[in-house]
Amino acid sequence: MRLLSYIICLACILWVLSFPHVCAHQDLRHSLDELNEHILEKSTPELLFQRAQTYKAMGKLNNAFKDLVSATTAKPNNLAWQLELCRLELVSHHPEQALRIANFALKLAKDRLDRAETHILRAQAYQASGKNQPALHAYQLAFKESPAGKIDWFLMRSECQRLLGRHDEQIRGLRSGLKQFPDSILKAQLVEALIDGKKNLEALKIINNELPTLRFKSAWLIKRARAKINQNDKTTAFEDLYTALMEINERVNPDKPDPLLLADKAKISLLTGDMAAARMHIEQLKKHNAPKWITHRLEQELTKK
Amino acid sequence: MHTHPFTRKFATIFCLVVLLGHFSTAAESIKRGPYLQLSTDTSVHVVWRTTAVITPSVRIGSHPDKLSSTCSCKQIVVRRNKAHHKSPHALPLFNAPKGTYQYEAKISELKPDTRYYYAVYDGDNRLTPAEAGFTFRTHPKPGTNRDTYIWVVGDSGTGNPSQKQVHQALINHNKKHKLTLDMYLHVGDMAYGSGKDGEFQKKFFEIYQPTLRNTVCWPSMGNHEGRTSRGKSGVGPYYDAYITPTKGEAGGVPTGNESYYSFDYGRTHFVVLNSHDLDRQPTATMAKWLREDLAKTSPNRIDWVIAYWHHPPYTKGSHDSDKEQQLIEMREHIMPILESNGVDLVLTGHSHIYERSMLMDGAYDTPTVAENKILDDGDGDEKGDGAYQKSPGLKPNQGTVQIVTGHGGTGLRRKGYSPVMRRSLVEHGSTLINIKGNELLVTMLNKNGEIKDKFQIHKKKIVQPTRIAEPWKPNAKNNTPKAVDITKDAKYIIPKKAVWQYHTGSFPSPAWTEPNFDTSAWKTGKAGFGYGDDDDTTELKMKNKFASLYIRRNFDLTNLAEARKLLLSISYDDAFIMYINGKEAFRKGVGKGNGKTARDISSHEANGNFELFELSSFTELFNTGKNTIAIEGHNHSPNSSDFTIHPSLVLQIK
Repeated sequence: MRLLSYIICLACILWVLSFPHVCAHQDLRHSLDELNEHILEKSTPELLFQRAQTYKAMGKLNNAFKDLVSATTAKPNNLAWQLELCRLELVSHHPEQALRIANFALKLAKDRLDRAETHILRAQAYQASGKNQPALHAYQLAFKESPAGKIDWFLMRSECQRLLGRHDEQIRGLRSGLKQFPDSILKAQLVEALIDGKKNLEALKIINNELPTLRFKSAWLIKRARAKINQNDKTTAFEDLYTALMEINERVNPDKPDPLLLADKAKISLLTGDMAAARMHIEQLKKHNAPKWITHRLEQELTKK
Repeated sequence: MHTHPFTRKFATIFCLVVLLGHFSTAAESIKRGPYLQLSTDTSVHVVWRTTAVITPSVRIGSHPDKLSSTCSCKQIVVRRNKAHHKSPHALPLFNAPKGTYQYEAKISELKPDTRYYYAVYDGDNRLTPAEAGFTFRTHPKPGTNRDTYIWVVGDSGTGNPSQKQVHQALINHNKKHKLTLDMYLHVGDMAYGSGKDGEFQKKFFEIYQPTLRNTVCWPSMGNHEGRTSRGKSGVGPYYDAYITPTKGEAGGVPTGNESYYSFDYGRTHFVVLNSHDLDRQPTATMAKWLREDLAKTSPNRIDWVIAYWHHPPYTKGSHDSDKEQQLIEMREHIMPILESNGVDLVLTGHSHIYERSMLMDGAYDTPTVAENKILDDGDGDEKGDGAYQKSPGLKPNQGTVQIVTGHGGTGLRRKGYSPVMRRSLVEHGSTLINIKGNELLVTMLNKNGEIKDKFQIHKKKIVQPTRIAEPWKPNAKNNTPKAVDITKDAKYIIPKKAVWQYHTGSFPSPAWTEPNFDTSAWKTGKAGFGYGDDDDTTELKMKNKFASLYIRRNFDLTNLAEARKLLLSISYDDAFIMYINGKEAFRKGVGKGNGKTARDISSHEANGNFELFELSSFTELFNTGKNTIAIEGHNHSPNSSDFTIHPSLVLQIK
């Protein structure tokens, strides 16, 4: 009997030891099946969190949400879980709930990086609700906690500053970001900010340095055209816009268009005054599920015209 | 001075022990590496770990014994765990073993495309042996036409014999063909189960050390590394282990982070993405960077674009790209950007299989369909259906080949067949890429050192791509019966594991399929027949000897109407021809000939599956009463790792 017990214990130990190895070879559905079995035997917040992550990877956000709510109800002081729930609320377009969770999570954040991450989520929640001023305040708090920041943080703060028309601050912020991260997206954003802030000469200098290095020039030709329109040089601006349009038409896949290429086509139409074409491109963007911030921005421009 | 012989002996032994202790202490002081990272045409990084503080330096030269230049400790970054970390130039290690010192030496001002030898020192004490294996070659100058040889591995990090065999197969292959790798690409899951520091140590660095000391590994993060490392923050054992470009140091556009990057080698541009834990949306930062990077990739200095990451856009191996979010997003969001910028090859892992597509473009739907998305549905082999053709330069939408190479060591599986795949092989191995000017050649080398797949892409002339409305499908050949789903309402006329007469070792007389053929000299045994894979009841000693097997059996049909409802249920690896009453009915995987003259044998994995074939088209070959079924089975090669023929005959009742 004792021997049998030892054998059973050894078998259990070996089975448990095999689990990471088994997991190594399993797909998400198998992982989900195993988690379901374990949860049926004994549901714990940790297992529920793991299952939420698996559901999220499978794109089943409603199920992920239910499990995350259960996990955080059982263990409300787990910061990582609260932040994950906040992110899920944001993705599900519930910014007010996201803000409530982020504000709660702030009390749990012990170190500077945790507090910075939480402020970023607060900022995103505010921005998603259209409250750009408090959003900017939250971004600034994030940078105060973690001055080095991350590329995405600089980009998000820049967009918030743009919406508030605070172009000088936007430019300063992006320049600071470029010092930390010599990233091409930050550079592109800086040029947009310079143009929005009517610092056209400085923008054109960067654009003209960039263009000869590019195989596909459409995005930067549109920037140059915007700067030239600011300088009342519509003739050369329109030349750039038509060149950009020809290049985009060659590249865009009609069945599955790149949303940024479509958005560029809409921008070209707006800048050349072809409102009907602009409306058509915006409708195409909506049809292909482009994010709202792209279509919203273009619609705002359309309204201004 | 006179000394006692015992004293002399003791002194000698004592000195030897001290010396041995010194050298063994010196040899043990390197705990990881040295290994190479982030190389360019004028620089390289040498990385290693110790558990004791040393005075580090790296010496380089043109010969292992002539190391005339030194990269001193002032130029070497030292990283430690957070509590002890001092260097302002690098992040602390995430959770390396206590007492770890990680040294990262950047050696600059080198000549392009030049071979150097190196050694790591602690003061004047050489820590690495004076062997030719401690060497590196700088990149050629950007834009230079230079043959390039690349090794690609995925999902290897188990530490098990298969992983080691895959590596050894590469080493043997290179030795046999006198080849030297230019780089090693890893598509992720290099340290199971969670990419912890200790797992990296045992399942990556210790296993690949003979290669890592002279070849840069350019990694992409897998989901298993993602359990302990974070793409957004660039923190974790994965990021501790590797140094990748952030400022466009090796070509490409700066990213500002190590999570995704690009680099050039000669006239090839490599793009490495993080498909695991970053936003994969087409408007997110990674996708925006990708557009910028590809927009700057000029055909004046680049002929080829190769992209790789972990989660495959197309697979039906151990994962299903029609059902999993990360895979769907890479297909729907990232592939359009790549294909509109002229990508040639996409390498991925995650799915534990080898799959290789036809030349394809625009297959972004879920579920994946191949109709009108395939530009060339041949096998891509210049000695077969012909190499895939693309126009010179980086023309948009001229076709991509997808390779899932997640078979580097972990357990293998296949759920089904992706409609875009031309090859699907459930065996361990790795992928080799050779680039020679306007030709790109890819081979799959299995763990036994056999080439199991190959294709080429040529960019020699202008091509106008056309889309194939009904491209090639697996198991779809003229005159071959369609595989059907078995129903519950059936009975076995010849069951599985039935007794058959069999012959192997020589070619039987051509009359062997006839009902009255004398089989008294033949053996009898229970199906399945074969070797390897532990799935054969009658084990045959065929390996390295012969590549064909002949089996036959009689059965009764009550009436001919039953013949219309007969199904052959067969598990086979690699090919077979079926005969009914002395006449050939159909063949699978045997291109031409019979018996001794059989050739063009295709590879086919049984994987324990039984495939069903309707026999209703061959009713006229059957008799009422006694019938003879004969099957000849063929192996792709006598040296193949396995062979299986396991037939049964099923009668559908309803």
